Amino acid sequence: MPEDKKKQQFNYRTFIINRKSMAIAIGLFSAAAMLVVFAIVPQFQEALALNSEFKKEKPKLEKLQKKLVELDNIQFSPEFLQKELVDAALPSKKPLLELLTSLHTITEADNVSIDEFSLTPGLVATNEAEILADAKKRSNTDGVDIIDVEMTVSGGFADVGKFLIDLEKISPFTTITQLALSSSATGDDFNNQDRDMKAKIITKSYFFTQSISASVEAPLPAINALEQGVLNDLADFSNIDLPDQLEITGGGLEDLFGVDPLTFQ
Amino acid sequence: MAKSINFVGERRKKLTQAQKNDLKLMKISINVLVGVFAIFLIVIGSRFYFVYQVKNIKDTQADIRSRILSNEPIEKDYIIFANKLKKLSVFFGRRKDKQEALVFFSEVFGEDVIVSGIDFSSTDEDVVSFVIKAPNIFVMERVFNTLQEEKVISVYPNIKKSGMRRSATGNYTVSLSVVLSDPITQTNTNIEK
Repeated sequence: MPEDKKKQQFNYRTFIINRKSMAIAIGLFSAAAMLVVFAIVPQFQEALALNSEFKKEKPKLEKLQKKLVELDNIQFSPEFLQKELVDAALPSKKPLLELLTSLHTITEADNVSIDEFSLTPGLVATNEAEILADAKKRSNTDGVDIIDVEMTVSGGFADVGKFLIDLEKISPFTTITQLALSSSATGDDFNNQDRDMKAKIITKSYFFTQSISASVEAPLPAINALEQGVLNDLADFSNIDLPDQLEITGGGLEDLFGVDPLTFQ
Repeated sequence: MAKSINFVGERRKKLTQAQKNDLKLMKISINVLVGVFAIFLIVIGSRFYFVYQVKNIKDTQADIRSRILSNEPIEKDYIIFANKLKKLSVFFGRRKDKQEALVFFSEVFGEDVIVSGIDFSSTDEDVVSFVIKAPNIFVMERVFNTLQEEKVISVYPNIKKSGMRRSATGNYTVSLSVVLSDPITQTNTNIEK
């Protein structure tokens, strides 16, 4: 019985000696199979993943290249060269001095006088004002803030009319929201209204407060035909070129108001 | 003569035949392995190619990004400029509608009727109010008739009249609230009397 069992057992040694080629063939097939399973399939999957990554990155690269070209060209674009006009019309800070100066200029030019004038310049820099300003900024979804001005202007009918036209052509961008015309001296005599016209005006002047954020991949905003038309309109605006105040001038304990000290003899 | 039986020879014959088949099989296996190895080389080559391409594209991206970042002040200025321009175009659009309405109502009633008041401050941005002043009741009647004419209705179909007053000197004033919507989109003409 044990001898029969021994006969049935496969003799590797005899097989390798007699069927050497078969053994090599089995080894080579096994090597080929292992190469497929452990090398080709993972490498192929890796190559596919890299190919899809390449396809994904290529449009990004094209966008970036386009943006770079745009950035290079934009500095010389005729629209962007008018940046100062746009900044003057919609400044990024409260344009109180600019507004007052512009109003003064058109008042002089149109030969009218401002009898009453009131505006709310805003809060002074206290902690409370800062909190209120932050709350206002959060609630302000338009990206602009407004200076309201109320005034009464008097002058000839034509002069007041011209003033009203010029008022909407000053920088910062100002628009009349309420207007009431009356003749002050001669009552309702239509024939004499040219001499004594009074206009009670409420205006809104705008300034830019929007927070801007952009990513490197984000394309630059395009300027459409309507906005190019706005640039043409802005060319007619009267701009006031006030120098920026970058430091506190005057002040100090010795000469607080810049007034010569009084001398007594 | 007795026939001799060679058992070993028969077995050797079979073995030799099997060895010939094995040799064929071995040649086939060699070819298969060479083929598989060639495929492996192609696959690994394509993988290296894509690695190079991805690295190349990422390097280029990084280079362009750094160049874009070096232009950051220009980009910032331009984005602010474009956003301001967008805001201004909205403001100009609104104001143009109102100015057109003002010019229209200043001219449509004739020279003896003046627009003595304007109110653009309605919470509804498409509504503007005018105060029309006429020197006497006859001119004011003409104003009312003009408001019902086709030349007014076709441009401003929704006009609301209110607050008619007479001053001590006999002048008449009336307030007109005008909706500045696009006349084409209006389906009903509605002038309240």
